[in-house]
Parts: sequence; structure tokens; C-alpha cells
Amino acid sequence: MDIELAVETYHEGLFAFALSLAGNRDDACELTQEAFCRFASKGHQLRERAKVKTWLFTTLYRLFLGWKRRESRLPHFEMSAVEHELPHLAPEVVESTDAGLIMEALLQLEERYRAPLMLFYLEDHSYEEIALILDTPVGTVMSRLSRGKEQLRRVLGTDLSDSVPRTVSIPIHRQRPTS
Amino acid sequence: MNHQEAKLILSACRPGGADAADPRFQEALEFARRDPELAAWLARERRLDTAIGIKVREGAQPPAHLKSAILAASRMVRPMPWYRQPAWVAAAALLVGLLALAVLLAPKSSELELAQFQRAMAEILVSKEFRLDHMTPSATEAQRWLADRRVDFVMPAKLEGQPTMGCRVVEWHGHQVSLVCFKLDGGETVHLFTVAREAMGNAPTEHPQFSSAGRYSTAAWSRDDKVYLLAASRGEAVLKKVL
Repeated sequence: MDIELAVETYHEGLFAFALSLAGNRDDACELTQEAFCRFASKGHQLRERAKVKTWLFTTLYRLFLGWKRRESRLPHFEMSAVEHELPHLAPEVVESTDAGLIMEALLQLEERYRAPLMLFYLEDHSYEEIALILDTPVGTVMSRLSRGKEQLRRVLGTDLSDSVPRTVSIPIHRQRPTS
Repeated sequence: MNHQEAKLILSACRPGGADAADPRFQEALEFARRDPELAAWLARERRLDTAIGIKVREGAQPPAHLKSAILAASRMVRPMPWYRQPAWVAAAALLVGLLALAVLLAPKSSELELAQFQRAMAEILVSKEFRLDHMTPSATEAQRWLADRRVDFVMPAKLEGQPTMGCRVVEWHGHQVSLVCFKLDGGETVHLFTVAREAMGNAPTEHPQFSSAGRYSTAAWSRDDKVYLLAASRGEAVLKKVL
């Protein structure tokens, strides 16, 4: 697959995945671009066209992990241990909500939940492909999807009902390393 | 499978139906069909997942300039010629070494044992790449599909008439092995592997030998020129129901 076709086919999905990892659009752009540069350099080694998608997503994830390794430990606000009844969230409410608000809610989740959730909601990846991209066992992917959806609904339920703000785990994204 | 396990599995099922044919979801979907409460939960989940998915994809649209920026940047990157990649040289050397080793150490059929067969087949069942190549509820259709692939397969009498989930062909040390998965009346799944008797040195007798491999209980027996291996994850009792 040539680079132009790969960019045309996958850049939107890769950007969304990068956004779920990095938490901000600038870093997501850079991660996406870097993944495609790797593809331009090494992609010709991929003999099976069907593997291009998984290769690109896996490469982007590894790039992100490389960034993280060079960062100091991310400070976190601790998550409130208070467990509330899961708020009922009607599909109609979501349908009439601004997409930006839904994304904000997703980006508030811990990375271990938001990365598989983003891949799930892109609907281009089976749970097995998600496990491959994130190098995580299938069972773990399933439980993170389940738990991640619960967390997302809690955050959305709180945001949409405009009730008292609750504390959630929010990684403080510091500046990306320059090298 | 209980209610909670079914929910966990179905949480990973994409709402658009892309996973409908995945055998891992079959049991949970079947469970949901029999349980009105779970069916209602699943319908709500799918509607909500669809709604959230649309919004997430809309909210994660890349900036307009990204595509042209990527293309511009990638034009400055030249593909690395293969002969400059140290990995190729190392891989070639490793391959030659492994081939030599494989020729020296490859077991002959007479050296292969039933226990190896049991372990290898149990590993296939738990592999995360596990799949069935042909999904069908009909044992006759499964037999026809295997016959089309020149896989010699005779249905054991006690499994005749049992509904199937599907089938596939796997290879074990150069021997073709057929796999047919059956759905029993109690909801349990059993997996039947069949291989030529000549594939192993110590083929079992005609009376089923019960054993275990990984988390699977197994029963193995020979009939004519075939060795049969039946595996179930819910214990020997399930196997005895059909033997």
C-alpha cells in the first residue's frame, strides 16, 4: 500500500487513537505524523496489505510509550473512591449532546481505559486487534472496555446532569519532550 | 456462563454487528437470546454505544491540515533499502540455523505421542487467534465443507445429529486435523479433533481414554484409521454425555 492511500485510509482513525493517548490535539497530530513517517520508511516491508492497519496503530502506540518513558511520572489527581449508582444515560441524551463534550468526557478517563475505548468506538477494530495493538491479553481488553464504559457514563452522567462535580483521574499532561 | 460474564463479553461486541460471526460472542449472544433481562440490557447497550461512537468519531476529527502535513513529511523520508537493514542479515542467518535444527530434530510420526497431540490441540483452543473457518449449525454441512477440502472425516455415531457451531482444518506436524465444534443441549461446547492414526506412534485404543490438557478435559479413542480427540472446558462429565 502506498503512503498516499495509507494516509487517506487511516489518518482519521490514527489521529483519534493518538488523541485518546496523548489527550491533546497537538501531540496527537505529531504522533500521527510520526507513525506515517515510520510507514514511509519501513512500510514497504509489509507484504500483506491487510496488516497495514494493525502495523500503523501498533507503531503509534509504541511511539507514545516511547514518549512516556522519557517523561517524568505523570502527576495524578487521585480518583475519588466513592462509588455511585451508575447514572442512567439515555441514547437520546447522547445524540443531542455536542460531540466535543463527549470527547472531553472520554479524555478524562485513565489512559488504560480511554485507549481501548477509542479503538472500540472507531468500530474498525475487533477486541482481538485491540489486544494486539495494545499488547494486552484479550481478557484484560474485555474488562477494560466494560469498566471504561462505566467510567465514561459516570463522567457523562455527571456532566450532562450538571450536578456537583466529582473527582476523576485526570493525568496532568506536561510538555512533550523535545527530542 | 452467568449473567455477569455474558455482560463482560458482550461489552466488547461492536454495536454495528461487525463481530456477529465471532465464535467467542456466540455463546454470550445465545445466552442473551434466552434471557429477556439480558436481551433488554444488550439492546440498550448497543443503542448507547452507537450514539457515543458517532459522537466520539465526530469529536476526534483531525484538523484539516494534518493530511497534507503528513504527506509532506513522508516525502522527505526515504525507504530504507533492505540490504542495509541489519535485521535481514540476522534473520537470514537465524533462518538457516533453525532450518538445519528443524531437519535434525523434527519428530517422525512414530515418535509423536498422543499427549503431544492433546497439548497442541488444547493450545489451539485457548489461542487468542482461535477461529472457526466455516460457521454452520449443521453437522452435515460441516462434513461437506471438510470433504471439499479433502479432509477425511467420519462423524462418530454419538455426535450425529448434534448441532455444530462450525469447523476448520488445522495442521499438526504435517498432518491435517479436522476440528468440529458442537453445541450440546445443556449449552456446553465440545470440540472434536480428528487426525489420521498414522500421525502418532501410540494411538489410543477404541475405548475412550480420559485425560486433561490445560484447562480442557479430553477423551481420545481410535476407530478404523482415525484418532479422535474430544475436548470440553467444563469437565469430563460433559464428555461422558456424548461418549
